[in-house]
Amino acid sequence: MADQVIKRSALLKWFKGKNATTMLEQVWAENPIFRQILGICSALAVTNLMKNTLIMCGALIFVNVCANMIISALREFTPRRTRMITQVLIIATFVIIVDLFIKAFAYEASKQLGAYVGLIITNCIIMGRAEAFASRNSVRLTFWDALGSGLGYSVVLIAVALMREPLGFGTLLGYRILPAGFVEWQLMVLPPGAFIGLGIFIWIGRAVAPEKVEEAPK
Amino acid sequence: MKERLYVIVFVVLLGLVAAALLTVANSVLFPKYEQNVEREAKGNVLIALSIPGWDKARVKTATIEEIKATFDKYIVAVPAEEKPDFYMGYELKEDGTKGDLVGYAFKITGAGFWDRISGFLAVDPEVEKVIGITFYEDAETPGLGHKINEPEWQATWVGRSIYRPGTDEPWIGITPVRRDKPANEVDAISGATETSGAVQKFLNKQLKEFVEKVKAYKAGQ
Repeated sequence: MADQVIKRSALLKWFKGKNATTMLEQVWAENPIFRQILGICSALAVTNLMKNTLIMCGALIFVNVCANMIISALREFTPRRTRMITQVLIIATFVIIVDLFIKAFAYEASKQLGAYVGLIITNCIIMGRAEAFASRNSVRLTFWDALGSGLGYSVVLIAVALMREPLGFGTLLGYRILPAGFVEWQLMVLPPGAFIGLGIFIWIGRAVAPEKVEEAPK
Repeated sequence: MKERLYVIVFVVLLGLVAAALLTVANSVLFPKYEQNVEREAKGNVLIALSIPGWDKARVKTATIEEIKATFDKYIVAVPAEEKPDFYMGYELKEDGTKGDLVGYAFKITGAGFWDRISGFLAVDPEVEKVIGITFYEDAETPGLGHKINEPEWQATWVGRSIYRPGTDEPWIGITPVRRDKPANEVDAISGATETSGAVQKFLNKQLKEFVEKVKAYKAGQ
């Protein structure tokens, strides 16, 4: 018990100041999906089932955090000219590991996710954070930044899945939650449902947290 | 010059580390993946041939050893290679030995409406009638083409002839609902014209190949 308290306070101590701002900025104010409109492809494709959504989010967070921390650790040694291939090589290595992991332990989901796990390699969120943040910040800050952008992606995907799976299948995580008489709304299962769902969330997100508009110089 | 050398050393070192990591991950995880593929293939042969006690739910929960053991007990692959032409399923006698032949199963696979569809079709020992069909891979529209996985629809296949009436040309039709259907046609799925047509197309191509192979095999026995 005492151990836990110490651990928690140590984590809290670590999670403050610049670390916290860096992370929270990625989760909310600079959310990759509804603010930067990045990573939309997989967000549209995998959100009709909550289980697939969670696996995809976990995979993205893992790759984002691991790859960016290593890119950050190597930033002093990476020759400028090979920056891009270094980043892609590191990202690709982790994506292949995650892909193998999902195929080994969540085979059904791996068939449904299809190419989208492999496509994390070209996910704009990871490439964007690698180039814009990891390549010029400390490993510790990069950790919080990557975790934040991964969580920001996940929050929106989970919200969309929370709407699509119940309306499209009448279930959540495979369990029936709507009465048997409910007529499943097929549109929600198909790509247009994702567009509508994501559109609604981008709208809500932008309404709740309006973008800071820099004033044009007079 | 020094700088160029550094770039090369850096990239080579990084590549080696990445390759080493992937080798380790692959040697640990790939066998598991192969097991999953084997479970799916062998399990679905059991389902298609209606081996007692084996359905979709059982295949998902059973251990790989259980599936392998059952498969080896009831099923013979012809020829005994990694990708056999077809499988022969046997009854199990009370003393644990192989009994009579219950039927043949072969893999059906091809392009569906959205993505690849794969499954197995099983026919009786006389190679005249369907005894079962199952699919394990598809990305068809949920609620429409995805209905090929519904047990109710798959049940309508059982007992269908695999030849055009009065001929020995193998052909099974997946045709619109109408009265007085010939014995070799099943009802298509309403609203999934493309999926029904796609299945009909690749299934008949592979059915024809299977019938030729199984007849040659029987003649050689």
